[in-house]
Amino acid sequence: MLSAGWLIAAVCVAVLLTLWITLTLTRLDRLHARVDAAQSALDAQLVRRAAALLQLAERSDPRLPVERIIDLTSTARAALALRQWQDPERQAVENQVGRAIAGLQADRARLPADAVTELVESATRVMIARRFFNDAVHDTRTLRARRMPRLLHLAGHRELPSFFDIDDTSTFADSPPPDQHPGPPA
Amino acid sequence: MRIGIVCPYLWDIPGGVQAHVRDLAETLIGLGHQVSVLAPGEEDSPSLPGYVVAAGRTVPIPYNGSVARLQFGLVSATRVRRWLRQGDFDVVHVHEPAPPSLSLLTVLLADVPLVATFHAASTRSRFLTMFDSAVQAVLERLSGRIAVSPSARKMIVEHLGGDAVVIPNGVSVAAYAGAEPLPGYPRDPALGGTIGFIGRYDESRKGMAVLLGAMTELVASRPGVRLLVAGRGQQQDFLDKLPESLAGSVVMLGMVSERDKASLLRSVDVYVAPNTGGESFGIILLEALAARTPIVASDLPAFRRVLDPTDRPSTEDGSGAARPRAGWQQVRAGLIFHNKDSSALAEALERVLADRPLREQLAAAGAEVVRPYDWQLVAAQIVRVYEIAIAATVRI
Repeated sequence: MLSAGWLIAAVCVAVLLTLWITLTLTRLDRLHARVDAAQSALDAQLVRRAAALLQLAERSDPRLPVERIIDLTSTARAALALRQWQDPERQAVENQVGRAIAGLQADRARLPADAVTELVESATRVMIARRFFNDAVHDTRTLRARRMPRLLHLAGHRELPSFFDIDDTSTFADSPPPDQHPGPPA
Repeated sequence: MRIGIVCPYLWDIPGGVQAHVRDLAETLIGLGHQVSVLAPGEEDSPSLPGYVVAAGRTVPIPYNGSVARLQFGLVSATRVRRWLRQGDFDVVHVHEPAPPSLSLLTVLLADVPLVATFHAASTRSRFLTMFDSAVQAVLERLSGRIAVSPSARKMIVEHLGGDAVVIPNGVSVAAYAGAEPLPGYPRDPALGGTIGFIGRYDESRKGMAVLLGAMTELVASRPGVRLLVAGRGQQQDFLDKLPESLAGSVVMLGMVSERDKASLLRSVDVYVAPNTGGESFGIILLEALAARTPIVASDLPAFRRVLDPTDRPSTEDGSGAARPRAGWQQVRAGLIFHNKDSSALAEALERVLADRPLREQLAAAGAEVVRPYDWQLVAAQIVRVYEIAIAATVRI
């Protein structure tokens, strides 16, 4: 009798463990897919922002000094040239784009209005897309860091996703930065 | 866009989340989107607007200081599934997805891009800490998170992990600006002035005691001053305890509809928000600003953030602002008085009631401050989040 009881208990444990592993594997699959999708969304917004900067620079002649236009153009082109997400330069280059945009704040009134609107819109979208991407990375890393998934190696050989850290707080807008007073860009 | 919105609270009970969902849904419909709202409630309730789908009966349970609606079970799950299938949504936007709620159930069942808005800034929501890993398993299905205030965002960062985009509550500015005053109002300022208060006056953190203290000081020099009070509470109890000197000065309006609230704000010379704490956003201040009513408010970070957007604290929770240690201070769109200080409030009220140009100046500044919170602009920000969430989701 005792051994039958143990057998039933063992079967129950095995069933529960299998269920739990299946559930965790499904979660990990979903999370990695979410990271990939969020990454391509962020990638697209970064490209849009760099393109908006390039467009603005090209149309600002002669409202800005020539050397500044050359500067802005090369910054935007450098970002557009990096097509690989994994490129080690990516975050530094995107930070330069962000700083170039913030540096335009003082000249805002002199610049073509529709190009400014597009630049503000794309910078805001980068901020949102980056937050959503980092959320996905955070959720994935949290689950992978738990003891059981780690010990059982449930994530397989998939690379651990890393956060995308750029400074996008200094948005180019006449309203205050979105996190304190989320006013829409005018 | 085909948008599904889930409201976790009963539609016909007034509340901040319900009002938010209603205004958002109606603004989105006005912008040409197809919107369906799923909310708890009886299917044959005649009071529901056409865009609301009832999700069936609920079991009320106390949660986090208010009453949440327990909505788990096969009937509810079937209705959520049917709603999702029939709506064929591009994006589903759930509100306050704390367990156990209709919002959470929808998150579990939906296979579409999911966006969630977190309204509460409370750090005492026990469920979130109790079932940490289970909650994580649900919340990781969200593609995007929105917080209605910096403090709600802080709650997410500290208690859920991850981050959120801050998009404020909206206000239907035109509806407030154009509301008709109550009959007989606004009174002649020579009579002593009219002060407004809206809220649960018998709840101590709403600060009615501070306001009554100020009123007793004020009534000495302005015998004709009148206080209009609207909101839920034990009216008779409240009137019985009223100081004798205020017997004729307080007018109780009871619970008011949205329209009467706008009328009340249009009827008073100054609106008072004497709250002593616990406010995350201060939507009522935005409504008063939209009605072009001058405001005197206690010194809470949420109020300061609304009334003085140029005063930008370095920290996102707004705790970095300089406070008046005593007395009151004029900021861009109102007066802020030292929290819980009745005398300071009385002085600030006297100042506003005595100075017509100041009232006009505050009303004009208020119209500027409230503009970015107009639902048209707020909804556009939310649609932008939908678009990015859709791009950041794979359909499985």
